[in-house]
Amino acid sequence: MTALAPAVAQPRRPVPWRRLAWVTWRQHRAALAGTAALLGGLAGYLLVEGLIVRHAYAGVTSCRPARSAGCQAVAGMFNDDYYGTAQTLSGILQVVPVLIGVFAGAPLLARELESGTFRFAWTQGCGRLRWVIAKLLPLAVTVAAAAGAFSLLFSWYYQPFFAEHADGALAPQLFGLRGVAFAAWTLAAFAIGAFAGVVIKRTVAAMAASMAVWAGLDLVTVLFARGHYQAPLVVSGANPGYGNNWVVGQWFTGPGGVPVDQTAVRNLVQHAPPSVQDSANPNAVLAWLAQRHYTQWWTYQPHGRFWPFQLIEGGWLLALSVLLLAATVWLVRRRAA
Amino acid sequence: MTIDKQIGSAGGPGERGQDAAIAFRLDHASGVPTYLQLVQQVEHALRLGYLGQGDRLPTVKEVVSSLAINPNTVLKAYRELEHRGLAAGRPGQGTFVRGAPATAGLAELTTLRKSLLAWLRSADAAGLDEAGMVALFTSALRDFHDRRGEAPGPVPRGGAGPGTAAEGAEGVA
Amino acid sequence: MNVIEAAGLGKRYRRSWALRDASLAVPAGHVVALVGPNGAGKTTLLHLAVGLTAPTAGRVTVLGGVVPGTPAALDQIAFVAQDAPLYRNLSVADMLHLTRNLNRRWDQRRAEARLAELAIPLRRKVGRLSGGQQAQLALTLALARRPALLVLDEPLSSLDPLARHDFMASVMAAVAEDGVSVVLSSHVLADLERVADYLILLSAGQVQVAGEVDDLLAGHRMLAGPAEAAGDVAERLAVVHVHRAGALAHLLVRSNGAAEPAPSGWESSPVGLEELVLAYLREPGAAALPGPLVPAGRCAGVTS
Repeated sequence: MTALAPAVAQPRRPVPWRRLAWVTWRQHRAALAGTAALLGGLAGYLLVEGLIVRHAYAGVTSCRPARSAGCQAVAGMFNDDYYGTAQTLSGILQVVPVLIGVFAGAPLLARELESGTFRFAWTQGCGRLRWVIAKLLPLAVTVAAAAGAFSLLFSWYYQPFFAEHADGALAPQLFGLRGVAFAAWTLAAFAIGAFAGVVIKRTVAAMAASMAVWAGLDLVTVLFARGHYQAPLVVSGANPGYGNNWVVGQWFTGPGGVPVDQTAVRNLVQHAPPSVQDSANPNAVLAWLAQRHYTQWWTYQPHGRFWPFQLIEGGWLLALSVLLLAATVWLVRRRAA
Repeated sequence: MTIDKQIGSAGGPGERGQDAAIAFRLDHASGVPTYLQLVQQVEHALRLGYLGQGDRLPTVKEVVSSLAINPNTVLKAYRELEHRGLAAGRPGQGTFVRGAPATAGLAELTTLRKSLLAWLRSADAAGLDEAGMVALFTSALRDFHDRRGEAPGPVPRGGAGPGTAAEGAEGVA
Repeated sequence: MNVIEAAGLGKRYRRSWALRDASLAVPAGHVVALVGPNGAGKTTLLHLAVGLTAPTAGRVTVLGGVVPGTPAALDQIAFVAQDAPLYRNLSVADMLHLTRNLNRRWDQRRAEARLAELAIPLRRKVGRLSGGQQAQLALTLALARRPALLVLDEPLSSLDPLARHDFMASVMAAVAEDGVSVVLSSHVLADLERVADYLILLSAGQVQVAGEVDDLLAGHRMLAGPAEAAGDVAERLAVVHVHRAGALAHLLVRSNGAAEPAPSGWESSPVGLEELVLAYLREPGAAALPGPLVPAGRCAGVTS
């Protein structure tokens, strides 16, 4: 009396990855386009500006006789003209990793969960695991690779300023834009975004939370963690920052080597004769203090440690990203409707 | 891209070129089971000459596409029509009209009419108005159908089991 | 083959049980209506059957013993969730392509033919389609996967009457053509009365009625007679529900069919599906379940 279900041929192979990749591409075209537009636009600007800067710097390097007052003036003009822009740029670029990562990562799962389309996606033949991996992996790799390529361009752009000793490689505002750090921070933002998306299940809230978490992580790293990837060096006397090293801490010791409070030192300096206080030579105050057996000490990270630090930071950021992405996949597999 | 509805929705090769001769409609409020309504519409069409020998009845798919009813209901109706000798299925081609319903002869009809009028007169004498007569008749008709087992669909005894088109123990219509 | 089989199935969310102690054996090749009031657990049951959620108690298998959510089950079951979720900013053609890429089995020609028949333009964005068109698109996508089982969660609730008719006509045409088994839920029985040949009534998280519609209707009768004799009848017959109105009482009884004559002084008439469902909804303790699956201690047709 009843029509029987037809004998359905059982396909054995799972849904191919390239098909799922198309799905990811089609669904997240906008995010990828936005990333491309942002990075592309900035890259274009960097390229043009970089060429101009190099051209100008050629003028500085070819100035003869080197170290003469005239050539120093040329160098000074170069800095006046171009260093300000470079600083502004590096300031703006601080937020690029978190913008890209969060705008690409947070909506991935949050939007599906928010709008209910996950009830469609998770009941298709490919299954949740393949689906979520196909969403996360290609985008993570793409976003990190694009960021990595961009940071190469930035390093190229900033080369003349390093040569001019304007900044050290470990300077906080520059370290995160170069080497592997830029890509690693972008990837971390993506992973934080994706994880927040599956936990919070609301797109806007996930984005906001991810940005906050990323910013907090960034702050903690710069203020506390990065300075101690390797034991900092200790030196007394002249400021090692002048050698493009990254000063991590400084303090004074008084007579007998006892550490002295900063305010106490300031009070002491106020009793110095005006000739010392108003002197044009910055070392005059230090020399006067040294006469009274007050020594200034510095802890710093030498600029030669740039690459070891890059690898350390890149390494733990990568580990964190992988952990968060794995947790995201696990949550998707586990999550009930 | 144009789709010819007839060819596109009709399934079999035999239907190419031959439209179904009847379109069904459904009266939800009548209380008559759906399959029976289909049967009655075919019988009615036959009596009035809208359907003739060899005409094709709509495919199951055509019927459910327009009425949104369970395909099994249509199958049940067509089986009943076959059972009454009014239709026959040709494998791969569809269901076709065969013969006419056995109606009573003219003399029988006249006698039945006379006895019905007599009953109406007694009912009127007993004080029933028209609505009362209709109610009494309808109730008796239902009783009659029940006693005769007018629902020959699968009624397996005592619980779940794969349904078969058993005619039921109540007897054959 | 049973298209859904459940034994003691239960699902708890935080403190309350959305579904409790559900036991089912739904045969293949049917159009199954899952009905019940809002909050009765219909969506929960369907989500358990398609693998969107996992049971808290008991177990459920589909299509002859397959665990929901596994590749074999996902492959053969097409699910349309409530309000037919689709990616609104994609075009219809993109949705087709996307769904094709998420599945192993796909009938592109069938999908395009259906959409052409329904006059749904391929280039339009899904978000710009009407509610009825979106529902039809979701159905098209599901059917193009050539599933063995089609599961629809409240497919009609947001559709106007014409869209509802067209949607159900499409589903029935697919049943006629492919023999696919269908499970659909609704809190409005009238929508499903004409199409269902198997009924599951869920009330307050429990299965109250489960069986073939023909069997259920043949197995119940409505007796009308004097109210004071109602108690006597209840002694002798399995009464589901009593409705008294003055001197007249209506009793819904379980019977063995028309062969059993009505008690003297009582008039017997067949029951409609809606009447049956309403009566059971009013008697939470009563149940009509197929024989072998009745759990020990609960008899089918408890007297009210």
